[in-house]
Amino acid sequence: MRRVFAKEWKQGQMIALFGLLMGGLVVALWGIFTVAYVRNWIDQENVNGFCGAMFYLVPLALAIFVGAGLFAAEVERGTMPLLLALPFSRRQVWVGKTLAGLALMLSAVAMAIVPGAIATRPALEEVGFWQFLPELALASALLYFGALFWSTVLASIVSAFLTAIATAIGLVLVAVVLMVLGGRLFGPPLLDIEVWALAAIPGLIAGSYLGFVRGEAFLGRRRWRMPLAVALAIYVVTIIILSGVARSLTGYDRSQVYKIGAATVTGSGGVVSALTYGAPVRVTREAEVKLANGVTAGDRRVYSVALDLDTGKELLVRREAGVAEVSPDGKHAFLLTEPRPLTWRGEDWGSDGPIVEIWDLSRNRMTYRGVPIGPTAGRYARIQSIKWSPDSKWIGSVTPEGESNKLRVLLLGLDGRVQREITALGWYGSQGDPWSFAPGGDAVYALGGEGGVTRYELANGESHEVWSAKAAGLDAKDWFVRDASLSVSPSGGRIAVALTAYERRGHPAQIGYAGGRTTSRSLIAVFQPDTGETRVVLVSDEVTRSQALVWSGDSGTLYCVRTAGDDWQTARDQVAVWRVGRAEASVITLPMRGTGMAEAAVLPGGRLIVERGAQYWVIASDAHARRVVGGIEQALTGATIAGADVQGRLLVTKWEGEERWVEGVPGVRPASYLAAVDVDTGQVTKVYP
Amino acid sequence: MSDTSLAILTKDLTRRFGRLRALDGVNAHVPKGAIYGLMGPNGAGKTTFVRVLLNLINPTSGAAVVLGRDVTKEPVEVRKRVGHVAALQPLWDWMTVRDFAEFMRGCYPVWSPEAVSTVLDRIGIDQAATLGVLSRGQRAIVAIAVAVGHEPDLLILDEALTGLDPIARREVLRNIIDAMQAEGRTVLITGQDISDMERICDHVGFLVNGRLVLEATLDDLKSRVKRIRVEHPGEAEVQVPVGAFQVERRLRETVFTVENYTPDLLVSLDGPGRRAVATDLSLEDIFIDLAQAHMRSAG
Repeated sequence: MRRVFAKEWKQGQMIALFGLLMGGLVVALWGIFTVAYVRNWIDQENVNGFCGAMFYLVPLALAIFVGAGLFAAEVERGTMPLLLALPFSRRQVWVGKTLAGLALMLSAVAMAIVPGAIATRPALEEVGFWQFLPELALASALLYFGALFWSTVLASIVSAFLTAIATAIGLVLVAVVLMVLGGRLFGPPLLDIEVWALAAIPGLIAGSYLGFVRGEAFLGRRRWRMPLAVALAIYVVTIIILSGVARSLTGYDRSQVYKIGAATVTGSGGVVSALTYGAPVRVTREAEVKLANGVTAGDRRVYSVALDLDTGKELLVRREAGVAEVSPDGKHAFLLTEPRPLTWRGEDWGSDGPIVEIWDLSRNRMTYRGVPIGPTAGRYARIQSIKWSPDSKWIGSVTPEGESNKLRVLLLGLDGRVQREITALGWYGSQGDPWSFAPGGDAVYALGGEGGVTRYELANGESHEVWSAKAAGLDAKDWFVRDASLSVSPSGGRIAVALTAYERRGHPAQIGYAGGRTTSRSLIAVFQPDTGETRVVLVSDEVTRSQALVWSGDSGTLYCVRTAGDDWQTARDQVAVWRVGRAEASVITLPMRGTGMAEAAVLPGGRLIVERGAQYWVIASDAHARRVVGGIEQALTGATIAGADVQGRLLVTKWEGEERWVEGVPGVRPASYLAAVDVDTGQVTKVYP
Repeated sequence: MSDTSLAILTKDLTRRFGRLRALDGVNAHVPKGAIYGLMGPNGAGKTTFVRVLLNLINPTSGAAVVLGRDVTKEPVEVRKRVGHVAALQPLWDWMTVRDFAEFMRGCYPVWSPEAVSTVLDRIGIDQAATLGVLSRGQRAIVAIAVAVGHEPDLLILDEALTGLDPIARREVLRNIIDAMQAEGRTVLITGQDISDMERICDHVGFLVNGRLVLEATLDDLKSRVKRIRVEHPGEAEVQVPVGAFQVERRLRETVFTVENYTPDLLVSLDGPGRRAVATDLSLEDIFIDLAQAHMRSAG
C-alpha cells in the first residue's frame, strides 16, 4: 500500500503545483483588480467577490479532478493491469490510491488557498469567506468521493469527471427534497442539507471500494450496476440511521446554535429568535412548556426556535425565518414565516403570502402548513400581531383585506382554517399591536381606524364598542388613526390605548400633512371596559416615533415608553416613560440618545428596565429612575432586552465580539446567546444555546 | 488439486463474459521448468487465460493453481512469484527507466538489480531516459527486464514479443528465456509468432474458441500430427481415418491431417494402386490446420 501511495503521490505532485499556480493566479488577478479598483475601474466588492469565488472554486475543481483521475486514468493509459499484477491485494491498491488522492487534494488545496488567502485576506474577510470553510470542505469531500466512485466504475476520466458533477448536483437536489420532505418522510423535520449530502459519502466510498475490489471495471468494462446498487443501498441505510440517531439523540441535545437574533419574552413565557449555524438536527420535542416563540430573518441558516426557558430545551426548531410561539397550554405551537424575502417576490403576488404552520407538540407532528387566509395574498400580504388566545383555542392575527390593505383581525382554529373574521380595522398600514384577547380568552378587543375599541364576544359573535377616541377629543371626522397599540391589563380590568392620529385631508396622500409639515396628534388613554370610565393620560401634538405599552404584573401600573417630541431632535435625544397608576400619572424623561426604538421590560417589584442604544435605565416602583452602571452595565454591554422571565431575571440577547459593518449596514457578530441577567447583582446566566 | 511437478494446473477453467465463453473448460498442465507456448487465433482466450492465472479476473467456474497456490485464494502470493509482461504493455510514462525499476524493486521481497541492468545494458537502453520517450519496442524490453527482476519462478509473456526488433527478440529469447530454463524456472509464452515458439518451446498448447484443443510436448506433437498424402489412380474413394481433418480430395490424390499418427496408419492406407506417404508438419502448419479444423467444427 505504501508503494502505491508513494507512486500516486509522486505522480500527482504536479497537481499540488497546479494548486499553487491557481492560488498565485488568483493573487495576481486580485492585485490587478485592486489596481483597477484604485483607478475606479472596478468596484472593490467585485474584487472581493472574485477572490472569494475563486478560492471556493479551486478546491472544488481540484477535488473532482484528483478524484476522477485516480482509477480512470490508469484504465485510460492501460497501466491498470500492470498495477494489479503487482503483489498487492486490491484492497491495498484501492486504499493506497484513495489516501494518496486525498493527500494530494489536501496538499493542492492548501497550496492554492493558504498563500493566496494570506495575500488577499482583507478581501476574503470582507466577503465572509472563512465562515464557508465547513461547507467548502464538505462540498470538496462530496465531489472527491463522487469522482472517486465514478473513476472506479467508468473507464474514462472525462466520463468520471462529468458524472461526478452530475452526481453532486443530484445529491444536492435529493438533499433539498429530503430536507423539505424530511418531516413528512421521517416525522419531524430532520437534518440540514449538508448532512443529507454528507450521508452519500459512505455509500460512494463503499461502492467505489467494492466496485474496484470485486468488480472488473478496471479492465475498461463498464461495470457500474453493482457499485451503484451498493452505493445507493448504503446511502439509504445511512439516511435511515442518521434520521433515527438524530431523532433519539435530539430528545436531549440542543441544536448547534451559535447565534441568536433579537429575542423578547411574551406573557406565556419567553420568545427566542434563533439565528443558528451548523445545526445538524432539528426536531420538535414533547416537553413541559413554559414558553415561547421567535423571530429571525435574513440569513440562509435561520431557524425559528421555541424554547423552554427553564430547561433550555428546544420545543420547536424550524429552518424558517419567522415567529414561533407555543400555546399557553403547551400542546401546540404555530410558526409564521415569510416564504421568501420580500425583495425576492415574484410577479405572482398571490403565491407569496406568509405561511403558517401549526404543530401538535404532543405528537411531534405538523398538523397544518399553508397560507391560511386567502384574502391576505396579494401586494400587501402579511400577517402581524399574531398571538395565541389565553385558552389556547385560537391563533389570532391582523391581516390586510386583499388589495384594499385595510386591516382586520382573523382567528384561526387549530386546523388552520379561518374561524372568525373580526370587522376590518380600516387602517392603511400600521405599526403597533392594535388588538388583544381578553385575559379569559372569551373576547377580543380591537382598536379601529376611527379610534373606537370594540369588544367581540367569541361565544356568540356579538360585538359592541366599549370606548371611543372621541372621549379624548379625537373626532374621526377630523382625525385618522394610523399607528396604535392596545394592551389589556393582566387582570382584564383596564385597557390601555396609545395611538397616533393624523389630520384628515382630501386625499390620502395628504393625510397628516399641512403646509409642508406633519399634523398629527398622539394619545395615551386608559379605560375600564366594564364601566367605560376613561382616563386620558396624554394628548399631544408631538411627533411620535414609537410607543410601547407594558403592564406591571399586578395590573397596577401601566408604562408607556415613547420616543416622541416636538421635533425630531427631541425624539432622538430622549425617551419618555409615562407611568400610569390607578390614580396618578407621571412622566419620566430619560436622556437616552439613539435612533432606534426603546425596549422595555417589567421586572419583579414593578420595576421597569428600558434599553436604547446599549444604554439601560431602571425605573423603580417609587418612580425613581437610575441609569444602570458598573458591573451590571458591563453585563449588559452588547445586549438587547428580550424581556423578563418568570423568575424576574432580565433576558437579553448578548453578543460576543465586535460588530462589523459591511457596506454601511451592521454586519453579523461572531456569536450571540440568550442570557438571563440579575439586574441587582449583574450576574449573567447563559440560557441558550 | 495440486501437483508439485506442475507450474500451472487448471481444472475445467471457464470464464464467461455475458454469453461469450472466453474460456471453456480449460485443463492445462504446464510442467515446472517448461517453456510453454500457448497458441491460438485472435480471440481464442489466451489473454483471458493469463489474466485468470494472475487473478486479474476471477474464473466463472473451475480452478487454477499456479506454483502450487490457488490463484483465487492466494493471489498476492502467486503474483510475488510470477513475472508478467503483456502485449505492448503501457507503462507509467512519467517515470524514468530507473524510477520504474526502483518502484518495482520496492514491490517485491526479492530483487536482482543486476538481472535488470544486464538486459537493459545489453540492449543499450539508458536508465535515465523517461519511459515516455522510448520506442514501443524499447518499452517492451524494459517491461521484460523488470519482470525478471524479482527472479520469478514463472514468467508469463503475453504476446510480449510483439513489436520487438530481431535483435531485441533474440536477446529475450536467448538470454532471458534460456537463463530461466537453465535455472529450472518456467516460462509461459502466448502469441502467434509460431516460428519463435517452435524454436524455443518444449511444450505447446492450442487454444481455440476458449478450448484447449491440444496440449503436448513439441516433439510429441510433431510426431503425432502428420499430413498424409494418398496417391491413387482415377477417382477411387479413399477411406480417411476417423479424426482426420483438413481433408482435401483431388483427382489423383487425397490429402489429410491426422492428430494421432502411427506407422500402422500408412500400412492400412496402402493398397493396390495406392501409395500413402506421411510428411512432417511445421508447428505453424499444425497450428493452422488445428485452428481451422476446430473453428470449422465450432461452426
